[in-house]
Amino acid sequence: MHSFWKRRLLHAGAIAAVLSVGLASAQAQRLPETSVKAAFVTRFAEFVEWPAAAHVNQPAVVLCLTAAHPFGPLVQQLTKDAVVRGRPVAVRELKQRASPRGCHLLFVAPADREVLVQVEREPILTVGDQPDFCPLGGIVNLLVVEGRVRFEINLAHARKAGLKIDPQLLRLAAAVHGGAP
Amino acid sequence: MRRWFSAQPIHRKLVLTSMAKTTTVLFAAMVTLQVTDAWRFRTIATTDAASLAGLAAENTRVALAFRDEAGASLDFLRMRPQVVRGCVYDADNRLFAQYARDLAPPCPAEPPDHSQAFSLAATVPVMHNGQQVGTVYVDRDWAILRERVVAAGLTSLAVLFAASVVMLVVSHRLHRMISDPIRKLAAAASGMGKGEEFRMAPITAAEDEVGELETAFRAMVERVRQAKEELIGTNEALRREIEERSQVEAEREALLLREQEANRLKDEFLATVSHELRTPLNAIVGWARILTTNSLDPATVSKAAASLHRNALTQARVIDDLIDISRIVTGKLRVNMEPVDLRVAVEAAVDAIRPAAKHAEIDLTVHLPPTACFIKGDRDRLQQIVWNLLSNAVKFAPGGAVTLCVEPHGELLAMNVTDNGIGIPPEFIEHVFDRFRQADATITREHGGLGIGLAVVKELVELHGGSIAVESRGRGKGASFTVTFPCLQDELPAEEAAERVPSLAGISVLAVDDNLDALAVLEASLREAGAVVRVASSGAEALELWRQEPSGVLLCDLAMPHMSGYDLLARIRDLDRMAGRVTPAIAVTAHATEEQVARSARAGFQMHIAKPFDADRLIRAVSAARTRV
Repeated sequence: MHSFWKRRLLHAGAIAAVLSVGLASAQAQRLPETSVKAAFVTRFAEFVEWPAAAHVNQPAVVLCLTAAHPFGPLVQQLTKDAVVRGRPVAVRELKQRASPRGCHLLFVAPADREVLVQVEREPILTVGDQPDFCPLGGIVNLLVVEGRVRFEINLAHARKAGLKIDPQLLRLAAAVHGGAP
Repeated sequence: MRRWFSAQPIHRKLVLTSMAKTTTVLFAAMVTLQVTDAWRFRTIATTDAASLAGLAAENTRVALAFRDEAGASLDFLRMRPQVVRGCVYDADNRLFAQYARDLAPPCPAEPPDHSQAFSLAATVPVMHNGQQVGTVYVDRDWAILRERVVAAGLTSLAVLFAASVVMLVVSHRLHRMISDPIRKLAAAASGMGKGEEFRMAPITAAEDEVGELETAFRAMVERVRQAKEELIGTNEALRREIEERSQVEAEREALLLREQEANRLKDEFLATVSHELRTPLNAIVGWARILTTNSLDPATVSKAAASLHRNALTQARVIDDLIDISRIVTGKLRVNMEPVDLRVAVEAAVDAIRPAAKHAEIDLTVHLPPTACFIKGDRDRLQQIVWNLLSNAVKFAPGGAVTLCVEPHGELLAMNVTDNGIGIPPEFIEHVFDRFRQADATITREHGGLGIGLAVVKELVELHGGSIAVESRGRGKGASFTVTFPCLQDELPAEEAAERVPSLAGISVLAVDDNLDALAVLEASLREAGAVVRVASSGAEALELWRQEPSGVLLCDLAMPHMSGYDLLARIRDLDRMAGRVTPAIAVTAHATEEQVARSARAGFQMHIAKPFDADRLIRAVSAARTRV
């Protein structure tokens, strides 16, 4: 690719990503990395298929954020009126040490990493934002590579949790762990 | 074009027609196949482009969702060399990612509207989570389709060409089989049209329409040939008929000419007859008038009497000739055959001609054999023959010499009459014996005569079983006639005495004639012979005389006023019957035809004597009649 396009796309892409999920361009420009990560978090739900049991008594897709999350109201704003696989999206901010039961996606802030032990084998897509998130049992970890927000996926943990991840997402991932079955 | 086509031979027409058909069908089939193939190829290509675009959309979906251009990989399109370009646009239709083959033009800035008919490109939306997150455009290469179409088209043309060549050869062969017999037939027909013989070699053994045509044509040729032969036959028959007709026509013309000639001769003859009868009459009438009116010296009277006798004889001869020729013409000439000494007949004829010969100053020499020369014949007719020949010679040799010579030649008796007169021209010699013919009109005028004498002679000679020939060395060199008769050698009846004129002394004769001159001559002739003669000038007078005293012999004219000779004889026969006798009766009449002679015989006349009569003959007849009764 030409460098001209690269640069232009890099810049415009960030803005577009925010815009596409309804984020105000002014906010996106103000907090680019956090905004992008919030957008990523909401996006991951679109590429994951939960087992049928996860939706018993719960028609919505529930996004949970641990107590120490950095997004403020960004996620709520991004998922307002959003629909994933025909289901409405609900956002839940967990209290300190609160059980993540009933969540479909759980953003684990670095300060709340012990919760990972609780959700092991639960059909919950865990998304983190710390360097050893995947070895610790997390499924998707956000990275910043050369100034761009990327992610890595631990497929083994996803299988353990009973989740099916869209293969296209794997292609976009910066790294996939535990790929061999 | 249409004219050109119609001028082509049939086999070429057939070839061209089938070529045209086959080529059209092949061409149509190939074009259809090509179009269908191109369309199918295009459909497949479009579908392929669409599926490639779908694949690209799937591959770029997540990248679009995360705005990660690097993750939007279109490299898999490299596997498909047909794909020229692949372009990915985001939700705002801005170019997001692209793939382009070498030397391909770059992607358009916005997703193109590719709903054109001839497009091998596909544009599909990129859907994610129920939303369009972008558009993918994939463009396929036209070149392959073009190459494919061109290759297929070339192949089709090659096949078409090869098929046409093969078909041309095959159909040429096949159609030759059809058209060759027709061409041969046409050649045969045109040959016959140019006058060749109406015959035809077999052309085809095929049982198709051409075979039927040939059979029909052969039948027609046969019919024409027959018609021609019939025509030739008819022509031949017609030609023959025309020939026959023209022959008949020629014969008719000849006949007509002969008839005209005969008519002309008859006219001439009539004129001649008139002349011949008048000439002696002139002398007779003249001398008679002189004798009655003047008293003359005895020498003149004697000369007058001789002239009268000569001319009367001449006229009688003319009339005899006329009657003879009439008998000859009607075929009723009769001769009374008996043994006759030819010398006697010759002497009588010479005696009769001497006055005329002397008158014409002719030196007449006669050579007769010393012994009698008997032949079977009619004395009078023989005499007539000799007289005719001699008078002919005398007539045509005035002042010359005439020689008559009779000589026996074995069983034949030859009589030759030669003169040194004017002779006979060669061209006339064959007509010498024709009736009514004389050498020419000038001769007729100069020499007189009826021109029938020689015809009568010939007829008479032949009736006697003899023949006559003529010789002449030409004009002015005289002529020679030779007559030959068969001889009678053993039969020698001594009738010498009978030749003498008998005496009628003691015989009473009643002569009846309404013509007083004729009656006077009769009376004089009979008295001279010693008969007792009574005369009557009518039937009534004669009957009256007869009642007074019947005579020994009746001499009677036939044609008389009031009572004819026949009526008179009938009355006298009635009287005879009462008296118990039969009186001999002799008809003396100018009615000298055969029929009249026969009629008189039927009526009861024993004899018939023609006027003018020879006195000797009359006397002999009376004597014979008297002795016979």
